[in-house]
Amino acid sequence: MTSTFLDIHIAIPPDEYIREVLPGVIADLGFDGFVEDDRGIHCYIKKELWLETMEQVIKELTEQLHLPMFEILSITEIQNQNWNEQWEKSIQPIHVTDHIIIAPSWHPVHEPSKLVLTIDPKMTFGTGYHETTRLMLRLMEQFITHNGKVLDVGTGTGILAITAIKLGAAKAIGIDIDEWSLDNGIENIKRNNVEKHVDIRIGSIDTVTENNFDIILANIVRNTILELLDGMIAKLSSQGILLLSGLLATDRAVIEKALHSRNFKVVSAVQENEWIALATRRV
Amino acid sequence: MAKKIVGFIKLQIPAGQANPAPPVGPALGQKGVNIMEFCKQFNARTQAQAGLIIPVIITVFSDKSFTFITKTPPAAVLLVKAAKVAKGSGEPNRNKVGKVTRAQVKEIAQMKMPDFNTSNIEAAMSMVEGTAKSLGITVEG
Repeated sequence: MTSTFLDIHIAIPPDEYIREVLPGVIADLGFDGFVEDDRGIHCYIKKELWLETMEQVIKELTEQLHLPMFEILSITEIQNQNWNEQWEKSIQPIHVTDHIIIAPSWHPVHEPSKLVLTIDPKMTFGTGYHETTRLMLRLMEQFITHNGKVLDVGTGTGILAITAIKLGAAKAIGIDIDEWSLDNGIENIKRNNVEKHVDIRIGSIDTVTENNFDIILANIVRNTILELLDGMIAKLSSQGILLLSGLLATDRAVIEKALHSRNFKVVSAVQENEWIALATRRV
Repeated sequence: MAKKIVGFIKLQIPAGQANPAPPVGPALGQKGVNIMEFCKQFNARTQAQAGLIIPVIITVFSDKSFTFITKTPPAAVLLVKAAKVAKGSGEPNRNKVGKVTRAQVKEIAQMKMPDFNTSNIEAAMSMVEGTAKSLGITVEG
């Protein structure tokens, strides 16, 4: 933990082949890894392994392999530290509304009167650090009905399906085409103690056999929402509410036109920065 | 969900050995990526390629989630390793820098076939041999 590393920044032309080959052939000299940037490559090595002669060795090797000559731009010492702890400190609880708080597992929030969601940012979208998720949670507070049945299309981390149950819904199904969503979604429904009420599945809307959902949630992007609109409407109960997010304010006209042509109207809209979310139902 | 990309991180790190020390820790931490989760996923995905440096591109999204792809090492790197090119012993352009067997060329060609966009092993081997020639590595057998 206390070891010192050197960051040797070398200038290499922006050529993918050269930038991949050079690290590959010098790695065995003791380098721990490489990070590419606009100017070249940062080569990381433990300080004690970097010898004065090594620059010459690398130059000979690159010449031998007919790779272009490089120039060392800088050599910086880096004291090793607990980088993961630093990162965890940067992820703080988010107060989405007066009632809903999202917190990572390493910052537990003990507020029994609040709805606390425990979500760690991993390889799936829906952590609460983006406007589109927060907007959807705000609309859900208004529209989730007690004992309702909810479908979450593009569930990601499962955050919306989990919230639906915590707001009183009886059953939620979260679907996603991203395979990471299965692992991460199941991990999150267990962590938030709703695994008996939430079902996470991989697949598109066509694979959902259930019908008559009271609420359908779609935090995706405009074009995908337009593509899935008929499929979602077919799964919605006659009095059901369709909540849409992942939309820019500039998308509103296109979405409303598509909704009107299907006899739907917008009953509520929320906005944060350039993002909007809409609650819609049959006219 | 609405995935807005905020950046890419291009790394090359040993297969199956990612850990939070440099370069992974500081590079990912600066961009808000979950360091331990990346290490776990990367090591699981690359454990069969132990001993190789793997190019990896991490895509970072605006809500601090991420995804990544790994690539196979360039044929040139695989050839240099196979030929055990002596480090810095060279007399460039005068001597061949090393030798590989045809069996090694075939092995490398098989690994690189998806990138070469061919299902013809002979075609893939010919590409690897071309790279060997440009590096001054002789193919024997």
